[in-house]
Amino acid sequence: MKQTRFILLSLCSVFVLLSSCSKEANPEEGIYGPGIFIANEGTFNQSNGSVSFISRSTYQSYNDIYAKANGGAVLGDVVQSVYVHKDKVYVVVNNSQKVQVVNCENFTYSGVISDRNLPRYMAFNNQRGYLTEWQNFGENGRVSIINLINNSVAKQITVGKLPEQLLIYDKMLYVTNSNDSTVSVIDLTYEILDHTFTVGDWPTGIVQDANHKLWILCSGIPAWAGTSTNGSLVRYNPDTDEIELRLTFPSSDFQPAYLCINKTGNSLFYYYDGKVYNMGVNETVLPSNSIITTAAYGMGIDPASGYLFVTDAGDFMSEGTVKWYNVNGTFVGSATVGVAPNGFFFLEE
Amino acid sequence: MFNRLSEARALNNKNVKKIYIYLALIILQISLSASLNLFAQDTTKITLPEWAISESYPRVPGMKIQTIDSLQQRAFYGQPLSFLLETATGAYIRSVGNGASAGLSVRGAGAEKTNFLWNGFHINSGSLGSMDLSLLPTGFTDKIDIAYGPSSSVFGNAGIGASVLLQSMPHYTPKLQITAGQQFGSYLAGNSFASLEYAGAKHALHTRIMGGWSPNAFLYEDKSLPDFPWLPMPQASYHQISVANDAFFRLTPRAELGVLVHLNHQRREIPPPIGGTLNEALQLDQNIRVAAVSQFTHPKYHSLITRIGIGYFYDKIRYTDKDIKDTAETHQIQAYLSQKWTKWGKLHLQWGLHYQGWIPHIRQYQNQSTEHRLALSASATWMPYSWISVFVSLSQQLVSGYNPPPTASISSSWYLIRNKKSSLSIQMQLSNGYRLPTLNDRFWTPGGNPQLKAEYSYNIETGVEWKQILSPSLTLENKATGYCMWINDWIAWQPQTQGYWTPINLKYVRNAGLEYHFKLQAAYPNGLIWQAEVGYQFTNAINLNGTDKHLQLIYVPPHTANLFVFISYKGFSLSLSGKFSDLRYIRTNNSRSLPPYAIAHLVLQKTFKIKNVQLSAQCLLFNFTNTNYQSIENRPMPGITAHGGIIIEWNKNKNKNK
Repeated sequence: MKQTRFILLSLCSVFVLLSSCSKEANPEEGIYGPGIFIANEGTFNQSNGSVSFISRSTYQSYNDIYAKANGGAVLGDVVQSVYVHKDKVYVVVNNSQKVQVVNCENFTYSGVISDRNLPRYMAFNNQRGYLTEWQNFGENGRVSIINLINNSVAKQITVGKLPEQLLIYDKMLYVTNSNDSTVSVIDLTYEILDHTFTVGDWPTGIVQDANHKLWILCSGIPAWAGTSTNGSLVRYNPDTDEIELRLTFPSSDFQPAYLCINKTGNSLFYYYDGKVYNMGVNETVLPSNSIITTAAYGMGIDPASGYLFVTDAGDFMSEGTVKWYNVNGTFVGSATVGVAPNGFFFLEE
Repeated sequence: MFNRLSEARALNNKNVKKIYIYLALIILQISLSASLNLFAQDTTKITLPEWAISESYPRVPGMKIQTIDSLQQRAFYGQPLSFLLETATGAYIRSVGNGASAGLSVRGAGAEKTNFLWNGFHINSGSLGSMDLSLLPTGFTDKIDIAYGPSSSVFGNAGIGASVLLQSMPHYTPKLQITAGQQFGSYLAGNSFASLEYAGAKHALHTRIMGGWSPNAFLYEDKSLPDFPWLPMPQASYHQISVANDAFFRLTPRAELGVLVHLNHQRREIPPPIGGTLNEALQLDQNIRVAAVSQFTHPKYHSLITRIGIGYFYDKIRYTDKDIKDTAETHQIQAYLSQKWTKWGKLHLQWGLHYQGWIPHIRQYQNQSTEHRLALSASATWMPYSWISVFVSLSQQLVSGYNPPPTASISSSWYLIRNKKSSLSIQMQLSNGYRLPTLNDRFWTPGGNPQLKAEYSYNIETGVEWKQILSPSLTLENKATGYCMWINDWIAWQPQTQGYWTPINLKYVRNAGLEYHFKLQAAYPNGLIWQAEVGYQFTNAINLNGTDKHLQLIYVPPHTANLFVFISYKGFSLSLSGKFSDLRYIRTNNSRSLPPYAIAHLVLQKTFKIKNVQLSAQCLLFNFTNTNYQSIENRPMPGITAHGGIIIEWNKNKNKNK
C-alpha cells in the first residue's frame, strides 16, 4: 500500500514539474510560462479586471488570458496584483474579495481563496502565502496566512490600517501600513506579530537592496485622505531595527509611488510628479534629474531582461499600455494590455 | 381649455379648421378618443404655440418633439419611466440593473446631457447632473414630450441630447373617477397604484399614489464561477412609494392656478456586478417637489398672457455600505416669470426668466456654498402664411462668477402639401445648447474643479414629415430626421498624479444620425382599434480629438429600433413593445463591445364594464423572449418576468352638473 502511495505521489510530482511554469511559454497555444504577467484592474465596479501576458521571446502581449482559458469567465472586479508561485498563479481581486488560483501552465481555473476583505498584495514562502487585506476603512487591516496546499486561511494577524506591499526578509515579514505610517513585522517562524515601527506618512512600497537594507517608500498623505503631506524615502536596517536615512520629497502636491529595485539590488526606481527617477542605494540625497517623463500607473523591473516596465492606464476606460525602457531611460518597446494595468509579476526561467 | 380654444379661434385659416373638423369626426368614431388623438402628437403643424398652464415653454415649429403615446404610457403605468422610454423611443437606457439607477442617453449624449423638466421646473440632480429614471413612475405625470437635440435657449441648462418635458394636463370637464390597481409578478414583485380625479368647470384635481416592491432575485448567469451557474441576483431588492398631486383652479375666466406636489421615497439595495462582492450597499432616495404655477391673461390686452411659477425641490441620496455612510442633500428654490404676447395672430413674442438657487449639504463639498443661477430668454414665432412658420430664440444664463455662453435657436417649418387627406412638411433647425458642470464637478473634494467651463454644443437638423389619411379609419404618419451635433468641452473625470480624479473639459465630440418613425393607426366603426409604430435610429457619435479620434463613443449603439403594436377589440387589448439595440462599445478604443440584443414586452388586458365600474384584468410579460442581455458591462438584466393585475375604475358621470 505504502509503495503504491509512493508511486502515485511520485507520478504526481512528475506531473507537477511537467506542468509547472518553468516550461517555455507558448501563449499562441494558451501555454504560459516564463514571461511578464500584468495585473489589469479594469474599471471599478464593472468586473472587467484581467491578466495579460507578455512573452519575452517576441515581446507580444496576450490579453484577457483568464477569460480565454476559461470559456469567457469573468475574473472579477479590480485585479490588484498577480503572482506566480510554483505551478500556480494567484490573482488578487480586490473588489471581489478573493484570490483566484489558476493553473500557471494553461491559466485554467484551479481554485479560489474567498471571503477576503479588500485584499491587496501577497508574498510567498514555500507552502505559505501572506496576503494583506485592508478590511474596513478606519479599522486595522490584517495579514492572512494562506495554506497553499488547500487554499485555506491558516491564520490571520492584525496589523496597521490599510496594509499594502509586504516583503519577506530573514524569516520576518515586513508589512507597510499605509494609513498608520508604520511597518508591522511578523515573525514567520511563530506566525505572530513581532513588533511595529514608524516610518513616514503613507508607506506603500518596500524593497530589499544588496546591502541587506530595506527601502520603504512613503507616499505622503494623499489629498483624498486628508491634508496632504510630503512623501519620503526611508532606508531601514532590519538587523539593528533603525532608520538610517530619511529623504523627504520636495512637494506635498505629488505622491511618490511604485518603488522597485533592479536584480542586483543596487539601483532604486520610483515615480514622482510625472517622472521616473533612478537612485543608487548608496546615495544620500534624492536625485534631481529624472530618466523618463511619462504617465504611469505601475512600475517594475524585469530581472531577466533588466528592462524597466511602466504601465499607462490612459483614460481607465480602454486598454492600457505597457512600455519598457533601458535603465538609462531609453525607450525600447510597448504593448497594449488590459484596462488599467497596475503591476507586474516577472517570471524568470 | 380656454387658452387652447381662444388661440385656435385666433387662427383664421379655413383649411386648418376643416382639417380639425375632419379629424374630430374621425376621433369621434374612436371609443378611446382620449388615447388616440390622431394628430395630437403633431407639433410641427402650423398652430399657435399652445400655452397650457403646465407648459412653461413655447411650442417650437421645426423642432423634433415626440409625444409619448398615451397607450404606451398606460401600458407601463405602474412601472418606472425607464421601461416606457426604452421601448417608446430610440434613446438608450443605461441601467445598472432591474430597479437600479437608469439614465436616458439621447442621440449619443450621456444621461447628464438630457434635461428633465417637470411642469417647467428643472429636476435633474444638482449633484450628479442626471435624472434617475427608476425614481419616476410612469404614471406620475400626464404627458411626456421629448424635445430632441440641443435647445438650451428654449429649455435651459443640460438640454444637449434632449429635453424631456413632463407635464400635468388639467381637464376642466366634470368628472369624479377613482382608480385602483394591483399587480403581482415574478420574484415576488408587486405594484400598487390608486388615483382620484375630481374635476369641474373651475377645478381639476388629480391625486396618484404608486408603490412598487420586489426582492428582485431574478436568475442570472454567474460567469465568475466555474460552470457558469444560474443564480438568484443577490442584494437587489427595492421598494418605492410615490405620491403625485395636481390641483388646478380657474380663479377667474382669465386666471388659472396650479399647485403641484410630487413626493418620492425609494429604498434599494445595490447589487454587485458579476464577480463583485456583496458589500451591503444600500441607497435611499427621497425627493420632494412642491410647486405653484399661475397663468393669467391681461384684462385689457387679451393677447398678453403672463405666467409665474415657484417651486421648492429637495433631493436626498443616502448611501451606505460596509465602509461608507454618506448623505447628500440639496435644497433648491426655482422661480420663473414669463410673458407671451400675440400680435395679428401671426406673431408671438415671449420672454422669461428662470431662477435656480441651490443649497447643498454634502460633506465632500469643502468649499460648499449656495449657488444662484438666472436664465434670461426671449423668443419669437412668426407665421406669415399658413404654410410657413419661423421660430427664433435667445437665452443667457448668469451664474455668479461663472457664465456660460449665450445660446440661440432658429427653426422653421414649411408645408409643401396640406389638404384634407395629406400633409407633407419639412423642418429645419439650427440651435445650440450648454450644460453647466454639476455641483460634484465643481465642489467635490478632492478633485472638484471650479475652473471647468460649461459644455457647449451646436446642432443642425432637418426633417420631413408625411401624414396621410388613407381612409376614414386609417391614418399613416412618417417622419425622418437627420442631424449633426458638435459638443465641445465635454467634461470627463480623469486620474491625476496626486492620486485622485478630477473633471476636465476633455473631449470634442460629433454626433450625427438619422431617425425614422413610422406610424399606422386605425379605428373602425365596429370598435376595432389598432396601431403600429416602428422607429429606427442611426447614431454615429465620435470623438474628434484625443487618442480615440473618430471612434464611436462607449455605450452608444450605432443602430437602434423600437416597435409598438396595439390592438383593442370588444374589451380586449394587446400591447406589444420592443427594442433592438446594436452592439455597444465598452472601451473607448472600441476594442470590446456588448453584443446586440432585442427585448419585447407584452401587455394583455380584458376590460369589463358593470354600470359605472370598469374592471380590467391584466397580464404583463416583460422580456418575454427571455433575452439574456446587459445594458452595462457585467450588470445582468432579468429574463422573462410575468405579472398579473387587476385595475378597478369607478367613474361618476357628472354631466348633469353642466
